[in-house]
Amino acid sequence: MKEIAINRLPVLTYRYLKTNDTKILFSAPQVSAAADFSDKTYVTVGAEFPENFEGASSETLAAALAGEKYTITIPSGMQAKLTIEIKLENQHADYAGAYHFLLQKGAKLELVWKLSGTEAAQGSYLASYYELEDAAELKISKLQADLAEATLYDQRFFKLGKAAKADVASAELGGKQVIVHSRGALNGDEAALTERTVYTGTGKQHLDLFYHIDHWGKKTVSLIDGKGALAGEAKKIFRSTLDFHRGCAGSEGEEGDYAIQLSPKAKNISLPLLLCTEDNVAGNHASSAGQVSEEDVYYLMSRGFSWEEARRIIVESLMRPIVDSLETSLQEETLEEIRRKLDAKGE
Amino acid sequence: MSELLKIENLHVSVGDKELLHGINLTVEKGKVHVIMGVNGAGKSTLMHAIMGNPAYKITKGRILFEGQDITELSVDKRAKLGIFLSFQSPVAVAGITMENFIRTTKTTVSGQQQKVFAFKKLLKERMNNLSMDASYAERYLNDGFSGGERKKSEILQLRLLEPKLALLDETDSGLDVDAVRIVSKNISEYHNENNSILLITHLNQILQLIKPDVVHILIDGQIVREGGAELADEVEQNGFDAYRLAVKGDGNDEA
Ligand SMILES: Nc1ncnc2c1ncn2[C@@H]1O[C@H](COP(=O)(O)OP(=O)(O)O)[C@@H](O)[C@H]1O
Ligand SMILES: [Mg+2]
Repeated sequence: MKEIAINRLPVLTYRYLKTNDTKILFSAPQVSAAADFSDKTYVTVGAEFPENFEGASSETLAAALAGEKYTITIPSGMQAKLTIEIKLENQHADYAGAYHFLLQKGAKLELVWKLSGTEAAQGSYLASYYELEDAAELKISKLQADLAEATLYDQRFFKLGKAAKADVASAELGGKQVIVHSRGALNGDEAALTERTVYTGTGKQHLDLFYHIDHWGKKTVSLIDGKGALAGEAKKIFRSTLDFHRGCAGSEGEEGDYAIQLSPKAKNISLPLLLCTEDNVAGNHASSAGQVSEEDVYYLMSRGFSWEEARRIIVESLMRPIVDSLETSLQEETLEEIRRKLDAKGE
Repeated sequence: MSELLKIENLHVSVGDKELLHGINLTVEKGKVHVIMGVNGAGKSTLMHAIMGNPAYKITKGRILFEGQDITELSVDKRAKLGIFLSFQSPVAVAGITMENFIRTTKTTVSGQQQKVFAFKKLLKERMNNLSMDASYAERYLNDGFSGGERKKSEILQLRLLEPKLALLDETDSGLDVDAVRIVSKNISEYHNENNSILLITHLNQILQLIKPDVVHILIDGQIVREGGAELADEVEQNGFDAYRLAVKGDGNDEA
C-alpha cells in the first residue's frame, strides 16, 4: 500500500487547500474476476487509450490497464445494446479492466454497467474510453451496490465528434471508497454530454466524485448533476468543472450537486468550477447542501405520514428523476437499494 | 357532543413574536365557519396551529378535537384524527405521482388498504369533477403545476380523504372565475352534516355556494367580531377599517 493523490482539480485553489485532491491508500489489484457480456458481437480483445486519458491518477489508470482489455466497436449506423456485469466474490475479490468503446458515425449504443458483490470484495479498477464519431449516440446506465469493504475506481474519458451525444446516469450506492473520475472532451460542434449521478453515503462510506467537461466545439452542451443523501459518518466530495475554451461560441453548460444531509456527522463538500476563455457561452452552477426542508416535511405529515416517512419521501423525490433516467431494468433495484440503505439510517 | 373543534384562549408565537393573542373559537359538527381579515392578521397562523405545525409555538391555551386535547399531538396524528389543511402554498414532491401519493395518503389516514382499481376509478371521477386532465394522475405531485392547479390538487385530496374538519386557507385565491366556481362546487359536494369547514377567504364568490354559518373577523391576532353570513357582505362593502380601529382602540394613525 502506498499513498497517492487522486481526482486533482484542474485549477488549484488556496481557499480549499485540502480539497485540491484526495489522498488515498492504494494497493494494486490481484486480477481475478472476469466481466460478463450480454452479447459479444462487437467485442474484441485488446484496447488502445489516448495520451490525454489521465484517469483519477496515473497509478489507478495503470492498474486498470493491467487488467482485462476489450474494444467494443459499433459500426456506422448500427444500433446495439450491451450489458456488462462484474461480480466480486470470495475467489474473485478484485477486478481490473480497460475498455475502448468506439461508436462509428451515427452508431447508437445503450450500455448498462452492473457492479456488485460481497464484503469479501477488495477493489474494482475500471477505465473506459468512449470515442464517439459524428452523430453517434451513447446512453450509459450504471448501478453499483453492496461491496461493503471494496474500493471502487471508475475512470472514464469521453471524446465526442460533431453532434455526438452521450448521456450517463449512474447510481453509486455501494463500496467503502468510491472514486469516480469522468472527463469529457466536446470536440465537435453541437456535441452534448450529460453526467448524472445519484448517491447514498451511509456508515463510513467515502465518495470522491470528479467530473470535468471541456467545451471545444461550437454550440456544445453539458450537464453535470449530482443528487444524493448522506447519513451516518459518510463523506462526499464532489468536484465538477466546466471549461469553456476559446472558440466554443454558443455553448451551454450546467453543473450542480445537491445532497441532503441526514446526519450531523456526515461530511459534504461540493466544489463546482467554471473556467472560461470564451465570451459567448452560458455556464451555470448551483450547488447546495441542505437539511430536509421543514416545510416539505410538515406538508407530508399533514397528509398522515410520520416524520420518518416524510423524510424518506423527500429524499427519494430528490433522486427520483435521475433514477428514472436509468435503463428500465435497473430502476426498481436502484430504488429498493436506496430505500434499504436509508431505512437502515446508515448507522 | 356536537363540538368538533374547540379553541380556548390560544396564544401562538414564532420565535419571540406573538402572532395570536388569545383566540377562542368553537366549530360544531356540520357547520361552516369563515375567517376574514387583512393580510398578515394571523389567519394562516391559526390554521397552522390547528394542524400542528411545529414552527408555530402554542404558548398558552389549548385545542380540543372531538373533546380530546390535541395541543401536544404531532401533525400526522392530527391528520389521522380527521383534520385536513388545504395549504395556501402547497409544496411539490417530485418522484411520487399524484395517484400514488393520494392512494398512499388515503391508506395512511384511513388505516385501510386501498384497492388499486376501485381507487383509480374514484380518482378519475373526482378529477373529472374538478376539470383536471386525467394525465395529471401520472404526474409528480404538484411538480410543475400552476398555482391554480395546486389548489385543485388540494381539493382533490380533500374529496378523496373526506376529513372531519377541512381547513381551507385561501383555496380560492389565484384562481380564475371558472376555477373558483368548480372548486367551490367540489367543496360544497364534500360538505355534509358530519363534517365541518373552517375557511379563509377574501372573496364572496365562494360563499355563494358554501353558505357560512359563522363569520369571524381576525385582526392583529385577535377575533374582533363574529356574526352570521351578513358579516361577510358587510366586509365586502366596507372593508376592514372599522374593525382595525376597534382593535387599536386609541384612534387612528391614518396619514
Ligand atoms: N413562520 C413565520 N415566521 C415569522 N413570522 C411569521 C411566520 N408566519 C407568519 N408570520 C407573521 O405573522 C403574521 C401573520 O401571518 P399569517 O398568519 O400568514 O397572516 P395571514 O394569513 O392572515 O395573511 C405576519 O406578520 C407574518 O409576517
Ligand atoms: Mg395567509
